[in-house]
Parts: sequence; C-alpha cells; structure tokens
Amino acid sequence: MRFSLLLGLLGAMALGSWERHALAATNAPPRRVLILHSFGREYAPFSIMSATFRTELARQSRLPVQFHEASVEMALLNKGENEQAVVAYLQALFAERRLDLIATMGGPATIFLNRHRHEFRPEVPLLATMDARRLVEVGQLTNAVLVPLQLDLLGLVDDILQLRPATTNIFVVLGAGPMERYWAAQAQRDFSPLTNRITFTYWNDLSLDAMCRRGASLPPNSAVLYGNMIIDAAGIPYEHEAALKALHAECSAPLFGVYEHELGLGIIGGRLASMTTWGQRAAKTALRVLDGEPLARIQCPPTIAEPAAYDWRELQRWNIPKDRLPPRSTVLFRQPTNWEEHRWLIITVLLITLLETALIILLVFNLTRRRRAERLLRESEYRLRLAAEAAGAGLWSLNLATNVFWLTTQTRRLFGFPEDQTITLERFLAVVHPDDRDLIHQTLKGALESRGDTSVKYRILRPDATVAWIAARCSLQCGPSGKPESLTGVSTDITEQHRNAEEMRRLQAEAWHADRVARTGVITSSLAHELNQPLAATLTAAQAGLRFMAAQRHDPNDIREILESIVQDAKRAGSVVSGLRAMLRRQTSQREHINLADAVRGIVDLLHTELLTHHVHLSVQCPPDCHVLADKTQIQQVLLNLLMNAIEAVQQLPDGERRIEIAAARDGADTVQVTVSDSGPGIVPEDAAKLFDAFWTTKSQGLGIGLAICRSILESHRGRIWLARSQPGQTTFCFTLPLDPGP
Amino acid sequence: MNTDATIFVVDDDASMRKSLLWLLRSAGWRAEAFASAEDFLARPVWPGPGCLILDVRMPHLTGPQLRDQLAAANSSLPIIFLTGHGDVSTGVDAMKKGAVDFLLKPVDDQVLLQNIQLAVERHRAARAHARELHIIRERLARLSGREQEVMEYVIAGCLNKQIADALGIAEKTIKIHRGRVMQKMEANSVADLVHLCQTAGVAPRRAT
Repeated sequence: MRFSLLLGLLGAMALGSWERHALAATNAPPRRVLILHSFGREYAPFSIMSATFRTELARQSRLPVQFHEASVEMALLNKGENEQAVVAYLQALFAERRLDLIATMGGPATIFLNRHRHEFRPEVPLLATMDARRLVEVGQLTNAVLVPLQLDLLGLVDDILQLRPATTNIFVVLGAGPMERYWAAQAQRDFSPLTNRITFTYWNDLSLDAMCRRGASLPPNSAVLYGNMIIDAAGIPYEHEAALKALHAECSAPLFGVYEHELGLGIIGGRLASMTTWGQRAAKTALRVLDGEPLARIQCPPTIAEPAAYDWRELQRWNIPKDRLPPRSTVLFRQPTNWEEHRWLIITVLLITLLETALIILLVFNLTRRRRAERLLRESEYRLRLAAEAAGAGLWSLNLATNVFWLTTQTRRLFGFPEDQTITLERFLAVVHPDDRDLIHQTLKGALESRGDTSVKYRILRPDATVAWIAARCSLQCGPSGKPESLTGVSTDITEQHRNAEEMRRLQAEAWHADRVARTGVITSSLAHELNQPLAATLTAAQAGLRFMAAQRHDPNDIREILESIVQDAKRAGSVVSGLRAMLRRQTSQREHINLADAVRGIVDLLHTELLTHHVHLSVQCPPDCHVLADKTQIQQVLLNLLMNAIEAVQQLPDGERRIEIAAARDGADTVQVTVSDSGPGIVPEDAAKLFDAFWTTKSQGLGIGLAICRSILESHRGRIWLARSQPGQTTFCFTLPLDPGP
Repeated sequence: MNTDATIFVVDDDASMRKSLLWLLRSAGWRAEAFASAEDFLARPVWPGPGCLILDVRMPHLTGPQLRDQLAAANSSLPIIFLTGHGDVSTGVDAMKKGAVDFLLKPVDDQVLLQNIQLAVERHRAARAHARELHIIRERLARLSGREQEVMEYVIAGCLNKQIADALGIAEKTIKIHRGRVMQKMEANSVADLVHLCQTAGVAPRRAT
C-alpha cells in the first residue's frame, strides 16, 4: 500500500516534467491527455500498452501533447473502499486543468472511471481500453470510444495441447488481485469444456514462493499457464517479469504465457496478445478523437492474438519437435547452434581434420605401397643376385661419400675378398694389377664426369698370385639434387674368354704373319737386289771418293757430294731392310695414324725390283692427304697380296702389256677407296665367288689364304674388300678403309 | 792415255749412275751416264774407243736387250755387265754372246777399273784390226776374178807355170796378173801378200 502511494506520487512528479518538456517543444497550445492507469505505469501487461500509446500519440499528433498520468490502483485495493478518495484526489488534481482526452489503461481503470464518470470531468471524451468481454461489467460507456482487446483463453490451452498433446495437468498462474481473480473466473469458465481431459489448477491463493515450490515438483504431463501476477496471495506486488522469471527458474513443466512481450522471458509461446499493437491502436483512435471526429463514428476493431510465435530455447528445453508447431508460426530467440555460431571454425577444423585424415590415409597407403615396393625390391634384388651369381657376375656398389663398397658374396669370391672384410676403394685398388690402376682411376673419373654407363676391362691379382681378367660395367646414381651418390655395377671374370680371344688373336696374327713371310719369300731375290743396289752404289761412291783423295787434286765439293750420296744410299738400304723386317716381323696389331700414300709407296718400293724383273709397268695415283688409323704393316700386307696376285696375273701377257694400276680416292666424307687393277686375263665368274675363301686357290703354289687374310685384315679395320671388275684386260680389286680425321 | 776413250754407263738407279761416274772420273776416264737403254740409243754412235757398263735389270729395254740391239747394229763397243745376285743365268748368256765381262754388284773398284781398262784396250785393238781388214778388203775389192784366183795360187806358193797349167792359160798372162795383184794389194813381197790374205781370211788355193 505504501509502495502504491509512492508510485502515485512518482506519477504526479512525472506529470510536471512531461508538461515542461512538451511546452518547450512548441508554442501552440498542447493537447492535454490524462492517462488513467489501472495499476500504475509500470504494471504489465498495461505498461507496455500505455508506453506505446504515449509514444505513438506524441509522435503522430500534429500538436504537442501534454500527458498527465494517474492510477486508480488505490481504488482497487481494499475492495473499493478507497474509490471515493481516489475520485476526490483526481477531482482535486485536475479541477483547474483543461483536458482534451482521458485514456483509461485496462479494464480496472475503465470500469472505475465509467462508474464515476459523472463525478470526474464527464465532458472530456474517454478513450477506454479493456478486454471486450468486460464490457458487460461496464454496461454503457458514455462520451467514450472503446479500444477493445479480445483474449482467446481456450486458444491458449489449444496451443498447449498442440505442442504437448499428452498434457493432462495445467497449472494456471494468476495473482491474488481483483483483475487476476476476474481472469481466473473467466478462465474457469472458458476451460470448463476441457476439464474431463485436463485438470486445471489455479494458483490464485498461493504466494509466489509457494508457486515456485509447487512448480518444482509437478507431475508428468503438466504445463504451467502464466496469466498475470500483479500481486500474490501474500500481498506482495510483483513486477511482471520478476514473477515470470522466478517461476521459469523453478518449474519442472513448460511455461506458457498470454502476452507477446512475455516471449523471451521463459514462456514457450503460442498465439499471444500484443500489447504494442493494442497501444498503437489506442494512440491512433485517440488522435481521431483529439482531431474532433465525432465519437459515434469511431469504431475500433478488437485487438486479437497475433499469429503463433515461439521461444526457440524453450522448445529445445522441452524437446518439442518443430513439426508440432502450427504452420506459419515464428520461432524467435533461436540460439545459434554450435554449427551456426562457429560454422566457419567448424568447417575449417573439419576441413583440416579431413585433410589430415586424407594425409594420414595417404601416408599409410604410401607406407603400405613402400613396404610392398621394398618387398618387391628385395625380391627383385634377390632374383637379380641369383641371376647374376648364376651368370658368374658379381654385383657391387660404391658409396661415393664413404668410398666403401657393398659387395655380393659372388663379388667377394671373384676378387678374393674375405667374407666379413670392409672393402674400401683403396683395398679394391690394392688387388688391381699395378699396370691397370691408372686405367681404373681414369674410368672412375670418367664415370663421374660422363654420368653415363661405363665399362672397363682390367686385370686383378688374386691372393694366389694368379692374374684374372675382369670386365666391369657400371652406372652412376645421383641423389635428388643431382649429386652423385653411388656407382653401381656388375663385374665378371672374363679370364677364360680373354684367354680364348687372345689365342684367337694370336692364331690370326700367326696366320697373317705366315702369309707375309710366304709372300716376302717369293720376292726374296728381288728384295736382295733392292738392298744390293744402294749397297753397291755406296761402295762405288766411297771408293771413288778415296781415289779422288788419293789423287790429291780433288774438288772438296765432289767429296761432299759423294758423302751425301753415300748417306742417302745407306738410308735407302736401311729402309729396305726395315720394310722387309716389318713384313717378316711377328708383331701385335697396333693402330697408328698413317698416311695411305706412304704405305703405298713403301710397298711399291719393296716391289720395285720384282716389278722390274717381271717387266710390269706400275702406275700409282694416291692423294697425299688420305689418313687412316690402321696397322701399317697389315695394310701393306693387303697391298702386297693384291700386287703379287696382279704381277702373277699379267705374266701371261707380252712384256709391253703388263700393267698394274693402284689408285686411291676419297669415297664420301669418311671413307677412302683403294683400287688395284691389272691388265691380266681376269677371273672366271665361278671362281670369283670363292675368291675370298681361305685355302682356295687356282695356283699350283701358295696356301690360298692371301685374299682371305686381306678380308680379315680389312674387317678388323672396319673396312671391306671386293672384286669390283673382272674381264680380260682389267681385273680390279677394291678395298675401303675409314678415314681418320686424325691429329 | 785414255783421253781418246769414253766409258758409257747405263743404269736406271740414279745413285749407282752417279757413283760410277765419280769412280770413272777419279780413274781419269771420260764417262757418260744414261738412265735407260733408250736414252743411250738416242745418243749418236761413239766412233772412238770405249766401253759400256750396263745394268742387267732395267725397265723397258733390259741390259741384254740393249746388247742385242747394239750387236745388230755392228757396234764393237765392249760391254761390261753389272748385276746383282740371282742374275747369274743372264750373266752366262751375256758371256756367251761375247760380253767382255760380267761383274756382280757390289763390285770392287779395282776389279771394275781393270776390266774397263782391258775392255778399252781390246776395243782399241779390235778397232785397229778392223781398220786393217777394211783396207785389205778395199784392196781385194779392186782385184778382178782372175786376179783373185791367181792371188789365191800365189799365196799357196805355186809357181807361175803351175798356175798357168791349173788355169789353162799362158804363163806370160799369169805373170801379168801376178804383177797387177801385187800392185793392187800394195804388197812388196809374196810374204807381205800372204800376211794380208791371212788377215783378210783369204784361203790359199793349191794347184793339183
């Protein structure tokens, strides 16, 4: 009571302040509106409605509006005993004041004023706001416009059942004030059709504390309908929100409400009445009244419940599935789910997780694959080793960083290395034949520089002091950066092959040598003459010199000339001897850079006397700049064989017709072709085919290996020989040799 | 002593040619050298005494072939064959055909020079003999057939009467022929005539 009085005083004080403010805004006479509250400015649900009304009216009015506010709260308490006092208070308060409109906020104020209309400013139009159904309590409103509210109580229960069909208990929260009691009565009436299904319990007689206690242990399938709580049974007035919050905190059943503004404070929701809409309508209607519109013409439709709206949090709390909500309902206060709130974070984390998973899978896959590859590698290595060992080949790898060899057992056996000894490059070089160590060094160097496959044949000294030939082939392995890491190769013992090849070469050389000796033997007498000639000249010249000197009347120029001639002839004799010796020498094949013209001249010189003796005319055409890489003796042997055959061939001809021609010419950029032609009778075609076969001959003397040897010599020089022409008067043999671009 | 003689060298070997020339000149001989038989044949025939030193083995015309050609041309130039080993058969053949000498290379200078000396001397003698024969033959050519007959009886030592009996002509006629023979043959005595006839190879005819 004291509290309410205080509020009333506060309202009066607020009146003053409003007036001042409005006057300051304009010079025009303001409209004066008295707002008559049912329970004071702050009591919900009217507080929302009156605040909207005030604001909207002030905003929409063309003229400034001066508001006066008063409450009839005091009249409502104590069962109407104070009504007259409040009427007197109002009369006193507004006796001298002009009023343009009186607006009552809610049923209690409207009912009070209408009851005392004749006592308090009946000439001032009244804007009455209240629930339409309370009109019956008022009867006729005079000089007034009604802005009605139409609450559908049964609809509230329908909403509860819509969301929680299994609900059997509904606890209705209403305060102990007259308005609440009125509404409790209304509710009981409205809900009566449902009582066979649902037990309604009205908590008008309980204090808020008791309500909370009860609410904390509600039976299953319960719901709490929060109506209004202005004052509880203990007589404690509550601000709307505080009571609602307290109940919300304690109740073990879902909380339903009536007004829209309660949404968000703990009620689940439903078709709620909007105090804001009601307030706006009231303001609009008030403007019409203030603008002087006849009251009879002003009809204001009732404000009904808004379309259903729900508090998402409460729906969640009570596990109410969304499909139970009526169509086109609004869900408010949707709390963003973790997903909504942290969507990008979650997506990012998820992506990272996925990526990581993918990576892990990839790694695992790789690992598996690698293990498989390693296993395959091991198997392939094993097979390779097996194959290599079967072939007598030893595998090895030289680590270039440490200079240490990895060797298979076979390789160790090959080199005579003990099974458990670490083999370094130095230790390996120690078993290499001293003459081949430079070769190995060069080969290693070459392999590192060329980065390709390298092969080398070298000798090693076995522990038992025997020499073995090794053929090695290796390739360089580089790291990802291209740095050489290791040299891997295979080594084979080729001692046996080497011995066989050596033997072959020796036999071939022997055959060639035998042929040379035989050929040279044929021309021995010619050679003796060839040698005799310069010797004779030397002797004669020397003796002439002595005679000149003895005569003591010599010309020193003569002596010098004689001596020069002697020197020249001695050299000539020497060259004949060396030419002969070359032909007779048993030497290993050695390739050197030779001038073809020199080789031809050498053999022509050797055959000089032979040609003379047989009255053969020889012509030679050889360019001076044809160089070949060849064994000179062997090439001369070919020429010797061809020339001797030619000399023999022309013997049947008369003296003047015995002709032989040697001609050499370049054949393309890298080959020289030599032809030896004679004027002999030619070779019959059936013999021509067998010409180069060994041991085939048409002659009574000789082995018949001359041309076979020519062919093998030329083939060993990457050349070839063939019979180019054979007819009476011209037989031509051709052979080719690769040219040596030479030093 | 040898100024009237010339020694010819035919050898295809330049060194040998040069050496031989030096040797011959050192011994005081005048000498000429030729690289081939053909070159030598191209030279005008040497009228004086001399000698030909000939290599057996040469391209084209060989030593023996040149010798044959010279012989065919009635050359009296003596030939000394020089040859290497193995040409002995050629040498024998050469000797048979009247070569002065056959020497093996290498040849000692003294042997060669002696042979040359001998050859030249022989050539000189031969040339003298040939000249005498030539004169005699010219004288013989002047004789008539009867004078030739008469001379053949005279150098056989027949008397005029014996000759007249043999020929069936008068002794007086024989006497006249004999005088013409002695005159035409430029012989001072029968002995002289006999010598001339012997030199010329005129055989004496004996009266039966």
